Order: sequence, then structure tokens, then C-alpha cells
Amino acid sequence: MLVGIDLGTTNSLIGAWVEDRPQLIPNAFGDVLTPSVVGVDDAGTLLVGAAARERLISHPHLTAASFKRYMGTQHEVQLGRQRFRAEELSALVLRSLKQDAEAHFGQPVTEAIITVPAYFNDTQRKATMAAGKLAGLHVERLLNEPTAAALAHGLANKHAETKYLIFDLGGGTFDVSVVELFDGVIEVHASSGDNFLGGDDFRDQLVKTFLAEHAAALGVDPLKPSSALLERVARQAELAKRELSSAPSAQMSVTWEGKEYRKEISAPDFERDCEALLNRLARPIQQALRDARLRTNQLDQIVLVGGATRMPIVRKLVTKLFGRFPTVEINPDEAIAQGAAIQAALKSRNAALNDVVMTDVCPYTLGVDTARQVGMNEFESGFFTPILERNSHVPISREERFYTLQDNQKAIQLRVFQGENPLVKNNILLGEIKVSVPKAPANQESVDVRFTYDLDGLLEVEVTVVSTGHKERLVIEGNPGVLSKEEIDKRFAALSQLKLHPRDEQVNRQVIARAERIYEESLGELRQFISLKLGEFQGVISGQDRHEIARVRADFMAFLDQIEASR
Amino acid sequence: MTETIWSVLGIEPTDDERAIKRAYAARVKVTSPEADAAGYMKLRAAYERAKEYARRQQQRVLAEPESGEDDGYGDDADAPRLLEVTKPAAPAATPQQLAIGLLHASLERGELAQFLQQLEEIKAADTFASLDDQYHFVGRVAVMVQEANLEDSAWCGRVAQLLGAREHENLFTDHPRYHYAYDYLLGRYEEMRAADAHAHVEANQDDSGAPGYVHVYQVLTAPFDAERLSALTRSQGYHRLAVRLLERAKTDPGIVIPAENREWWERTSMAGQHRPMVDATEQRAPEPAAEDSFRFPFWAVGLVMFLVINLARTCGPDRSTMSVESMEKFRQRLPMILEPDLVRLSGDKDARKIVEQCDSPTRAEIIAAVYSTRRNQRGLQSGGKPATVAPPDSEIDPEVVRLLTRCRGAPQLDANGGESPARQ
Repeated sequence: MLVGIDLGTTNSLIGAWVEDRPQLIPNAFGDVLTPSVVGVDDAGTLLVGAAARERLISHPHLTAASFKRYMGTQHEVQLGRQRFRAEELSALVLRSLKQDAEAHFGQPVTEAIITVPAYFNDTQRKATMAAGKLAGLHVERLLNEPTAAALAHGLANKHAETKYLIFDLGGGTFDVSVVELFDGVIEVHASSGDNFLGGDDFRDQLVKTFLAEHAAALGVDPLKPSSALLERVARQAELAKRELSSAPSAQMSVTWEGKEYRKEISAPDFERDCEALLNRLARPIQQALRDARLRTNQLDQIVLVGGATRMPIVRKLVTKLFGRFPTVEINPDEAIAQGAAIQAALKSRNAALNDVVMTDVCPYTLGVDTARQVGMNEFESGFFTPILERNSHVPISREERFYTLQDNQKAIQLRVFQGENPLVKNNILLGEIKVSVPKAPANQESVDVRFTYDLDGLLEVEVTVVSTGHKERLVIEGNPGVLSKEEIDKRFAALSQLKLHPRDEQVNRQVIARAERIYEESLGELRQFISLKLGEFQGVISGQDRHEIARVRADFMAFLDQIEASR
Repeated sequence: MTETIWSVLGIEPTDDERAIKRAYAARVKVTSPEADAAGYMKLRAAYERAKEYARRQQQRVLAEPESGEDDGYGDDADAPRLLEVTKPAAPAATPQQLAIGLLHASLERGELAQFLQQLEEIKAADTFASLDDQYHFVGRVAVMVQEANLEDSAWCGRVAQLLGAREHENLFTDHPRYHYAYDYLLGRYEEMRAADAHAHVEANQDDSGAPGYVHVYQVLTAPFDAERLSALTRSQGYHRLAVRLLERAKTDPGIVIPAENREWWERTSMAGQHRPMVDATEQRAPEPAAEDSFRFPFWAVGLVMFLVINLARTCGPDRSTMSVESMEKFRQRLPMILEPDLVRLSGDKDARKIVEQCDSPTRAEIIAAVYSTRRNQRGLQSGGKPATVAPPDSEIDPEVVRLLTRCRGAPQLDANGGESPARQ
């Protein structure tokens, strides 16, 4: 069975095409959003989702979140005795989603379409592919997130003829796509984005203001607080950020080492603090519009996607930039997962969708490093020569010819870059390849370099020596951001050994974790009371009477709700 | 029968964009990118060429009734021309026209300090908040400054800085006039920053030998740019230099690093994100300016050059060259770089000489027209044909020919106020 997965920075979702419409699958908590958080409990067993998220406060050293930001890097997170790469942590989230889908459909799920930010580079995309493999899923396709949202929006209006812009501000990344819909063709004209901008950054802004104010009292360096303090402030900041979506001001209250620290934030203050972040939203939009050769008044709609677009300051900015109000038709948290489910149906050629075709673009320019002759024996190196221009429709394959620069040159070294700058030092190196050429005077020998960019957004480079016909393919060697096939197999075996809590136990785990978190955030007598109730609940769990567990759990949850509501 | 774009689309040649789209939509349902990648690539190429053909046909039809009206500046047909706004503001002027008029007046009087102050005030007032307003405002200020042709490079750099500098880089690619002007401005901005960096190196002799030092210094002291910062973290050499610079900036007031840059660095390097992967700077000197005795090393023979495309590309004002050479030299060189294209598009062997004698606004226009035509033609080539094998029918561009003709009779236009496209 083929499913669609939105592997997000903050939350992940899984969906499939059922009864002629995209349907999202709930997890053990009956919720379609599974937090992208992984933790290890005291017994060394893994926790994924809501239960792990609760433990971010009480066990910051045993829990990892926002690891999507490390995709395509060799960064490892230490959880207890083990170290994990971002691919592995993502794989654990995928595995949990896979289990939910299997429980829902009663059949094995082996193939998936996974969404990635449009602006993810080659290394990050390969890492996402590897995560799928580590979770035991065959990744049928990587789909750009704004394109997925465009599909969900386009399908809802498939008989219209319209041009719209998808504004996708997620937890960690920002993407923009300009889309045209006509005669059942959903055509992405241009995409742009910022890989370092998301809802998390707005939250961190609050964390920064809070720490700056209380740094002296807390006795910490505001730039380098301990991870326990950081998680605690971050949680309060997240709550305050959400509060500010509907209220004119919000209160942050952090309990640390037996003392309570407070800060009141008003909406205008928050907006002022976030000005630098908000300013960064305009450029990708302008870029995508200009690449699509459109002016703002030629767009019929601006569609908001991603949880962070709930922030009023973001909506206000969008209104200002376009001179009109944006549209929020689909749930901004669910649009991408719905799109992924639609793509799953398109991929398996579902009859209900045979009049719909979607085409996408490659959002960045890809090319090679070249040198120029500037004098008799002088050369300047480091120039970026594009082969595939940004926003070319994919799949695409293009070839260019390059010549030797020196007499008796023995080899040509090609370094492949991604980026928009005329100098390679400002662009991202994807890999390199060295090809031997026969000795000859300068300009006599040449190579044809073919770039092929496929539907997954992966690049293949093939070099042919013109005089000999010798061909070589780019193998990215020594790029620690990409796992080799052997390494994936090895890590797959290791991950399979790790135990995940059984699905029906996850709810209990989450309640315990939540109680621990509230305990950490409380003071004095209340703490003892929580501890007493928690002991009681754990006693009931060990009794293994399912009805009794359910009854006590409901009671306990109501008690916790009450504490949180009274703050 | 040979295959044409029309046979691929399955229609007769037409300039009706709607018909082209309809034909494409019908075909793409069968030849979808999923089902038939090769077929789709062919269909896509045909579709794009057909749309471009239709667009150009439409433009010609629109331009013919009032010849001389076509500004050749791309498709922003409704954008008010510079001429309108540089005249004293008409009664019904928009806030944007008023602001431009104000700035232009200061520039004409030579009150450069006042110009900067006004620009700052206009930016602070946030009057041009919408994307389209921002686009035209920035573009027009750039054109205005470029046409003023001032010697004061630092002042131009300051204007670019106030406009947002690299924030607008690559944005004007569909508007050759703005593009050319903004690139000129950015060139001066980079010059200003390079001068600053070199002054810093002069003052700190101990570090100046390190290759890439100037680059790292420039990125760290520039306004926040996540992509560029992260490019630094990807190389061990740059990474090391950056750490050293950040450390020094704590005690040396001469190094001003924006707080945002420092924060980003602390956060990402603390998390171990983007640890350097491949070391490129170690073996190769990416900053020729920083190394006096830079000679092309024989072991690094892997550097290549694609002559034809390169020649075509060098004409886009190249900032790296700007920082080394003086602007004046660059301006003289420009028509020379463009010459092959210019001759091809005008059919006139002496085109360059004519352009060199031209007044500077017309010259800028010709360069813009050549640039845009070449870009369009390039966009039409599919599958790696070298740029020199363009179809013969598209060689001579009437727009370039028209501008060159105007060049020959330039004096009376100059007498008319020296302004470019005359509206009468």
C-alpha cells in the first residue's frame, strides 16, 4: 500500500487516498498530528510523538526535537547511551507513523511518498530518502511541500482556471510556490524559500527576550543556557506564541530552581522583536513572483500553509505585501499531508484522478565551477557556470561542453554547485568528479557535462570526454552528509533492534510523561500531590486490568487538565 | 515530415496563448512527467517555445500602431516610465511618483547628503510596503543613480545599502533596465565593502596572508544572510577563520559583526549543525586578491571553461570583476564583451563603434535590449546546443536595430533634455 507522509519539523502526518478522497490517519491518541520528537525512557525503550514531547522538559538529555534541521549533516544527537543521526530519528518517527497506518488499514504499508521543503538541497533530499529506507519504507517519490499544498488546493478547485501563490511557513523552513491551474493541469511556475526560517525562529525570539531580561537573576549566559533551562523557557515561549495568536498579550512563566520568573509580552512588542525575521519573508516571495513573470495583482489567491501562518503578525505582513487578505481554506497543518496522499493516488494512477496532472520545478540553479583566462598566463578560478537554471520544469536534462584551459592538461576536475551567486564560494558544494583527458594543446580537449534532474529533485551528473567517448558518473565521495548504502544497511539492522513501546501503551506513557512535566513546572505542595497521584496511576498500570487503567487514566488526566487550566 | 513545436503540440501555428495551453493540457495528460519523462521533456520544450512565440507576436502587434513606443524593457507594460516621474510631479501623482520626484530633484541639485537622508526617511515610513511598489521603487532609484553617473563610488554603495543591497539581487532578471542599473549599484556596494575589508587587512598585517580571510570578513560583517553564512560553515578553512574573527571581534572594536550573525553562528555551531564537509579552501585560493603570487598551479588543472557560454555570460555585470577593476574600466569594456551578440543582433559590423559614441542612456538601453534578447533566445534552446547555433531567422532583432539607428542620430535627442525613450 502506498501512503503519503508529511515529515515536518514540529509535527508529522500520514495519509492515504481512500474512497476517492485524501484521508489522514490518526495515531494512538486519535490525533492526526504526531509530534516529531523522539526520546528514550529510563528502561532504554524508545518513545515517539506526544509522550516524547512531554519529556522534553523533564528529560531534555534523553529527548530530541526539531531534528529535521540537521538533515543532510553529520550531526549526531546523544540520547542516553546511544547516538543518532537526523536520518535515524526521522526514521523512528516514520516507523511510528507506519505502525499507525498499518493498525488503521489492517495491512502492511511498504511504500511512501515523503514531502520535503522545496528548498531542500541534494544532500538533504538524499538524507530523507535514507530515513525512509531506515524505517523499512520504499520511498516512491520525494514531493516538494508547497507543491503538495498546491495539489490539495488545486484538487479542491480543479475546474477553475486560476493562478495562486502558496505561502508555506512551517516549523523550520519557509517555502513559496507560484502555481497555475488550467484544464486539470496543476503547474508550479516557480519556487523559492529560506531553509533557515520557520515558526521555531519566532519562538526563539521570545526565548531570547525572556533570557535577556532574567539572565542576571538566573545567573546564566543568555546565549548559552543549559539545555534543561532552554527547553523549559522554549515551552513557555511556544505557549506564549500561540496565546498571542488570539490575545493582545501573553504571560511567560518559568519555574527554575524553586523560583518563578515571569514576563509579559504584548503583541506589538512581539511584532517589533520579530521585525528582522518578518523582513526575510519578502525576498523569496518577490523572487518566485518575478521568476514566474507575474505581478501581485495577477494572482487570484494567496494560500497560507504551515502552522506558523496562524500567527497574526505573519498574516498582517502577507496582507501588506500583497495589498489584500490571504486565503485559508484548508487546515494549514494538514494541507501538505493531504497533498502527499493525493500524489500517492496520482502515482498509482487512480481512476478518479486521471484528468489531473501536476508538474513541478527545480527551485535552484545547478552548475559547475569554472576558471577564466584573464591574461597571457593568468587565470581566475571560482566562477559559477550554471547548467540548469532555477525554476526549470522537471524532469530536465541538459548538456554543456567545457574545454581545457592549459596545454597538456591531464584531467578536468568538475565541482558541482547549487546556488545563485556568480562566485562558487557563496554557493553550496554538492560533489566533485575528476575525469582524465588525453594530452593536447589548450582548448583542444573537451568534455560534455550532462545534468539530469529527476522528479524526486535528485541530480545526476554524467561527464563524457568528447575525443574518447569515455563516460563517468558523479559519485559524491567523502560527503559526510550522505550515508552510503552499506551504512544504511548497517544502521537499519541496528535500528530494528531498538524497541518501540507497543502502540496501546503509548497513551499511558504520554500521561506519565505529562505528569512528570507538570511536576517539574510546579512548586511546593502541588508537587507532592502530583507525585502521589502519579504513584497511584503507575500502580494501576502494573495491575494490567485494562478497564481499571482506562478509568484511573481518565480521572488522572482530568486532574492534570485542572492544574494546567488554573495557571 | 520534420517535427516542429506545433506538431508536438498537435496544433497549427498560432499566437493564441489560450489555444496553446489547451493543446498542452490535452497532451500532458498522456505524456505526463510520471508516465513518459522523455516525452514530457520534449512536450515541455515545445510548449515553452510556443508560448514565447505567442508572447513576442503579441508584443509586436501591440508595438506596431505606435512605433517607438515599445520600451523593450520586458513585460512590465503598465509600469510607469522613468520619464514620467522624473518630470515635476503631475497633480495626480502617486506617493511613489512624489517620492521619486523628490529624490530626483535632490540628485539634480547635487545634494547628495540630502538624497540619502530622504531615502532613509522614505524607507522608514514604509510607504511602499507592497511587493510591486517595492520592486519599482528600488528599480527606479537604481536607474536614477546610474544615470546620474557620479564618480562618488562610496555614495553609490551607501544608496545600495539603504535599498537593501543583496536583498534585491537576482530579482530584476525579467526587467533588463532595472537589472542593469541595480547590478551597477550592487557592484559599487561590493566595491565599498571590499575597500572596507582591505582597509581592515592593511591594519592587521598578521592575518592578511590567510587565503579567504577577506571573504570571511565580508560575509561576517555583512547584513544577515543565512545562505552565505552557512556556505562558510561548509568549509574547514573558512570555518576556522570565522571562529577566529568572531573571537577577535569581542575585543577589537574595529571589527563590527552584526548581532544576528553572531547569534546564528553560536546557535548553529553550538548544535554542531553544518559541520564542514569538504575542504575546498585549503588547496585552492578562492580569493586571488588575497594572495599576491597567485599562479595557476599545474596540479589543479581541473579548471575548465566553456568558451561560448562564458563569453555570453561575462556581459552580465560581474561583481567579482568590479571589485578588482575600476568601474570606469568596466564600463568601457562592456560593449566589447557584448560585441559578438551586438553584431549578430544588429547585422551591423560596426555596431560597437556606434554604441561607444552613444549618449549613456541610449547606450544603457541598447545593452539592456541585447541582454534581454539574448536571454530569451537562450531560454529557447533546448538540450545543450551551443549558443552560436541559434535559428537564423531570429538573428536580427528589430529593437536593437531601432536603438542603433537612434544612436546615429543621437544629437537632437540629447538636445531634447537628454532623456531616453521619448514619449511624443
